[in-house]
This record gives sequence, structure tokens and C-alpha cells, in this order.
Amino acid sequence: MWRNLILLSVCIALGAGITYWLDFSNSRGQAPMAEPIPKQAAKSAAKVPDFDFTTLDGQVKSISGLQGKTVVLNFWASWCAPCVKEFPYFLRLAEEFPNDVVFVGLSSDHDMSAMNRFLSKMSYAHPKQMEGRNILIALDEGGKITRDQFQTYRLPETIIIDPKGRMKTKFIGADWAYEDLVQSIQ
Amino acid sequence: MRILLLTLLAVFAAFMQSANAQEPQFDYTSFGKLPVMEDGRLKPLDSFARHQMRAVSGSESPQGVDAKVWLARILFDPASVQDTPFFTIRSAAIKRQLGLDDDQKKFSLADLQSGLAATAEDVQVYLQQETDSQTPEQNQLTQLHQSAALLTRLTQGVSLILPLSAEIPDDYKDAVPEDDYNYLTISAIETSVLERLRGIIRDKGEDPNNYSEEERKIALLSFQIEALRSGGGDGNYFKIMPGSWGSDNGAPREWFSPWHLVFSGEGGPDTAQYLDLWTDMAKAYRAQDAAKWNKVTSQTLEYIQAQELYDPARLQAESYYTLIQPYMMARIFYGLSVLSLLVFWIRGEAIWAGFARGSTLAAIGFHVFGIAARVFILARPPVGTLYESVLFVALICAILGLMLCSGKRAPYAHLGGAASALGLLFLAPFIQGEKDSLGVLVAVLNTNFWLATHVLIITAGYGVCVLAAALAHFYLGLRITRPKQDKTALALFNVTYKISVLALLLTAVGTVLGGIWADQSWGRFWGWDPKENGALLIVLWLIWAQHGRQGGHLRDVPFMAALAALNIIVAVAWFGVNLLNVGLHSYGFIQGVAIGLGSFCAAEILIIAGLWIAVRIAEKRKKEHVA
Repeated sequence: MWRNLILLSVCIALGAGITYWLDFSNSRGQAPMAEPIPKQAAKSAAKVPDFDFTTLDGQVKSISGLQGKTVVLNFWASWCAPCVKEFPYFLRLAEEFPNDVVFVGLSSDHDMSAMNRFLSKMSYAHPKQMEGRNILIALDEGGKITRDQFQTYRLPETIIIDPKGRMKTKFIGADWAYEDLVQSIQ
Repeated sequence: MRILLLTLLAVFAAFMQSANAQEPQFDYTSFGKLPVMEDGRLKPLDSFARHQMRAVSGSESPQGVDAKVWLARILFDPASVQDTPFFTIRSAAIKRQLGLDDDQKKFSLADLQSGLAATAEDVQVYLQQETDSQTPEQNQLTQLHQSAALLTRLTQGVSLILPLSAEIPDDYKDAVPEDDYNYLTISAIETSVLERLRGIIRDKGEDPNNYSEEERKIALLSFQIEALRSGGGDGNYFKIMPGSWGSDNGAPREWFSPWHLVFSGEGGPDTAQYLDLWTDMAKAYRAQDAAKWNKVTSQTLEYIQAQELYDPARLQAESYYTLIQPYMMARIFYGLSVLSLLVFWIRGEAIWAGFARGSTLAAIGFHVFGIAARVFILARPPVGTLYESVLFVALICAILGLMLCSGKRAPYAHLGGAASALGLLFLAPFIQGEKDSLGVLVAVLNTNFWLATHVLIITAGYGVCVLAAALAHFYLGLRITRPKQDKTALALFNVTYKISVLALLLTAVGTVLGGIWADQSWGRFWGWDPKENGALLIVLWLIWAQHGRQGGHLRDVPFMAALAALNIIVAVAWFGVNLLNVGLHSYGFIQGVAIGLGSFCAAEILIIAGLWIAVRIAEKRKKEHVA
């Protein structure tokens, strides 16, 4: 009888002790909140795979050759309305950060003429910005880079590549704020 | 449903170049180890395939077909699925409703199509109802529709990388790779082709007879693109692709179906390579090139393992777990043990006791392996679901029974433990039902500290209670023929009493720990929740029995009858309260066990009452005989 009573008392004391310890050692209600993630941005830290592209003036460039600067890699096409909408913002970004940022626009247009027609319109609307030396535009023939290498099947998409050549942020679609873009390159 | 069927037809039309999937030398080992996300958990494709096969066909291996082989055929050769009899229908009423041949049992999707289309609206109505309020026929018909929809979804799993029999219009032949047409390769021309079709319809209307040869090709290609995209593009079911883009907050990467990955922009350079390997797999399968298949599946597995997105050892462990089926093996050995102990009891030959010990040890070995494998695979303590609690309680019964067995003289504890374990392992699949037994936990349970303390202690308490109740049954049975002072009866009484004290200790501590956990999780120690009341009921019952015995109110037979009735109290606390569907312990809700539980309780009451009366009659006769 006494043994059972002692056993029961020990259990109750143990329970009370654990409750006391848990109540006073745990700061309840202060769970860390996850940082909100920008809606269209997803982050990665993988190295960007190397690829070559030919710019409008016939120069062959490689993405690895642009290391040391932040690269804004944009997949677009002249028939894609959201791409057309966001294009001037990239021009503005390149103008504001002439020494730190390179804009690489890879077009998925089916032929060069469609792309050139669109670029002519851009040159007319933004003559000064289109002349920036940090704006590199190329036709991605057959989608070899856009689709095969980066698995981008829905345009537009924009990848921010840091100066070390790592893919930092991805913007899916064109529904983003210019401030988010600026923040992502800084 | 009609949309699903139309989509399926379109998919079959697109993949009319059916492959012959009967090559025996294909090695599916690496394929079965590839990771897939299902129900919030990454698992090997083999487990996924078994689960899907059971959901579609009602068995994990109908006619001995390997689930991996079955899944590969559905994924890579969807056209062949149409005429394969996957569905078993036994109900004559369902067959009549679907217009099927009454003598046939197995049916293909082609057989069912018209019947499913005709009953689609009825099923929509049934789906609005609670399962309990459906008639058996309504329930079966709903399940059949769901199985057909699941099979359709699986056929679309990787349809974007399967070769198409599309004829590319001349204007686009330069824009797509020659003889390598699939949805992804022709997506380069998708916008332009659809734009062209809109122009053709605007100029010439919708009748293809008015079109030129080139325009017909454009119309056909547009139809195929649209059908494929509307079928596969809406679903995110077959999640084999890890998203390329993680987040800053350290959360694990999400997994997507190939279609979803491509449409949502979650892909990247690494997933492009992985999808290319899947494309090669599809090509090898359809070409029935076993050597290439074996090579590509190995490469694919090596590639995804090298990404270090998951622990391959856990998936490997799951493959072994599924292959060995430890609980099936444990059931066999517990069964042998029970039989051997019964023979030993009747004939008294020591060899049977030794054989029983060996069988129980083997059974415990498989049982421990099963539970340990689950702990490793799920990376959490062993008891988090009702199913797992049954497995754990069975193990406690078996181990404690074996520990308390005193060999030749009293095999009761051993027999009680093995028989309880066997019974519980037979009960476990019914508790689990069709769901994946390795499922993820609801949030309230997902804290390893409490799972390792409160839940383990309370379920160990259940196990000890079950063993005490089993031994109390034996005692009552023994007392019909033997007096109270008999050595065996005394030994059995003492061991049962000690076990009941241990049961009280474990259930009392477990209940208090549960209250502390409730205080941490829900902000209150005690809320008179049915589950809490159930646990308290066991403790109170044991305290009542112990006090009754200590105070002399309950002598040996009533005390043992009270302990035997502990089975009823435990069953009600363990399963019964879950039927109420109220309270915060929502993870334990179950359906369809009310009749079984009621029958068990009624049978136990009859057995205990019968044994008690039999003992009383035997004692009375003995007194009369002595007088």
C-alpha cells in the first residue's frame, strides 16, 4: 500500500516538475516568423551554366565572360505582351547602373525580323537607353538556351545572376515592382 | 468526368504508336528507386507504384504483375492502357448500371468509357454526400470513377516528353528537331501554330474539308497540342521533379509534376537535365531497347542522387521495408508460436516450448525491424498514428510476454503475449485502410520530443493492459479446473497482478505527460477531450481494481474479471473515442469500426461473465463435494 502511494506521489511530483520546467524555460508565443518572400521571386544559389550568344552587332559573348557584374538575364519574345510591357524597365535599370549591371535579353522570336521590328520601336521610344553598352540582345534560335538549358517555356522570365556567376533570384512573369528588381541586384 | 474521358481519348490518339511492353530483360530496379513526392512525403517510385496499383486495381500485385512494370507501362505507353483489364467489378448491379457483360469480372478503360460517361452526373451527386450515407452500390460506383480518373491522371504523368505521332506542317519543319516530336519540342512553335489556326478558322470556318493539306496539318497539330496541354497541364499529381528555385528561409525544395514545373516556371538548368534523362527513358522504353533502358535508368538515379536533395538511404530502406513485408512475416511467426504453445500446453513436450520461443524471437525480430525501418524512413519516433500505435502495442505485448514466460511450468504469459500480438497485427491493416501506412503526421503530433515520451509511454501502457487482460482471461479459465491455491494459478495471479501495476504506472504517467503536452500545444492541461477522458478511464479502472483488491472487496476471481474487462476499457479508450469525431485529437478519427468494436465489447462481456459463472459453479460443486 505504502509503496503504491510513494510511486503515485513520485509520478505526480515528476509531472509537476516537468510542467514547471517547460512553462518557465519556453518563451511561448514568440515563434520566429518566416521572412515573406517576394511573390514572383524564387531564390537559388546554383552556378549559371555557361552558354554563348550572338548579339545584334554580331559579337559572340559568353555568360561566363560577364562575371564580375550583375547580369539580368531576361527571356522574352516580341509576341509576348507581358515581355513587351516589362522591357522598358530593364532599359531603365541598365541606364541607372551602367557599370554594375549587364542586361542580357534572349529572344524566343521565330525569326530575326520580328525581333528587329520590336527593337526598332524600342529605339524610337527610348533612343538613349537602347544605346547603352550594357544592353546585350540576342536571338535564341530554336530555344536552345531558353527552353533546353533553362527550361523556360512560359515567357517572360528573368534571372538575376550575381557577380560570382550564381543564379540569385528568378522573376516569373512580368507582375513585379521595379523596386523589387533594384533590390534584387543590390 | 466527361472532360477526363475526352482528354484520355485525345492522349491515346496522340500516342497511337503503341509500344510493346513485354520485354523480360528490362531491369526496373533503378527506376523503382527514383524519388517521387506523394502526400507530402518523398518516397521511392516503387512504393508510389504499389500505392497507385492498389488504388486502381484493388491489389498491389494483380496476377503477379510488378507495380514498377505496371507504372512504367502506364507512363510511357499510355495508348496500351486503353484495352488492358485493370478494373475488377463483381457487383451485378454496377455491371448493369454501366451496361457491362454480367459474366465478366475484369474490365478495361475502353469497356467502361460509355458507362462512366453515362453515370458521371450521378457520381457528382454522390460525391456531395457523406460516405456513410451512400448505398454500397453508390460507394462502389464512386470508387470506380475515382480509379478511372486516377488511371487517366497517371497516363498524363509524363505525356509532355512522350514521342508524338504528329505530322509537322512544312512551314515549321525547320523550327523543331527532326523526328523528335514531343510536347516540349513542339512548344517552340505552339504560339505560332495556334495563331495560324485562328486565322484559318477566321478565313475558312471550322470545317476541315475546306482546308488545304497544310492547313489540315496545322489544325491537327493544334488539336493535339491543346489536348495534351489541357490534360496534363492542369495537374500536379506525378511529382517527380524537384523545383530549381528554393527559398531563403531554409525550407526544403518543393517537388512538382513535369507539367507543373514547366508551366509554373519552377524549372531551371538542373531540372532541364533531369527531364532530358526522363525523355531518354521514355524513348528507350518505347523502342523496347532494354540495354539503353537499363543504362538510362541508372544514369537518372545517379543524377538525382548527386543533387543531394534527399537521403537515398531512407528511400532504399523503404524499398527493403516494402519488399520484406516485416509485419506479414511477424504474423506468420507469431502464429507458429501460438500453435506451438497450444501443443506444448496439451502434450507437455519441452521441444514445443523451445520452438515457440524461437518463433516468437523471429517474429519480434521482424516486428522490431518493421518499426525501426519506419523510424528511420520517417525520421520520427515510432508511434504517431493509430496504425502505428497498434504495431507498437503488439510489440510490447510480445516482448513482455516472452520476458515473463517461465518455460515449461507456465507458458501463459508467452501465449498471451504472442496471441495478443498476432491479433493486433491482424487488426492493423483494417485500421490503416487504403491509405499509405507511411504517411506524414498532422501538425499537432509533429514534435519528436512528445512523440518519444507521452505517446510511447501511453501506448506501452495500452500494451501492458492488453497483456494483463489476456492473462486474466487465462486465470479465469484455469480456475474452472484448479483451486486458488494451485501453484500455477498462484503464479499466474501474481504475474498478472504485477503486470497490472506496471500498466497503472505507465498509463498514469502517460496521461500526465499528455496533459503537459496539451498545455504546451493548446494552452490547457485538461479539456475533457474524449481522448483524454479515455486515457483517464483506464487509469481510474486500474486504480479501482487495485484498491478493491487491497481493501479486500475484490477477491481473486472478481479482481481478475476486472482486469480481463480492461480489454474493453482499453478498446473504448483507444479506438472508441475516435468514432465520436469530436475534440482536438482529430488525427485519430476513424470510420467503420463501430460494429467491430461493439461486437468485440459484447463478446468480451459474454466471455468474462461466462468464465466467472463457470468458476463459481466449479467452486460450488467442489464445496458440495467436500461437504
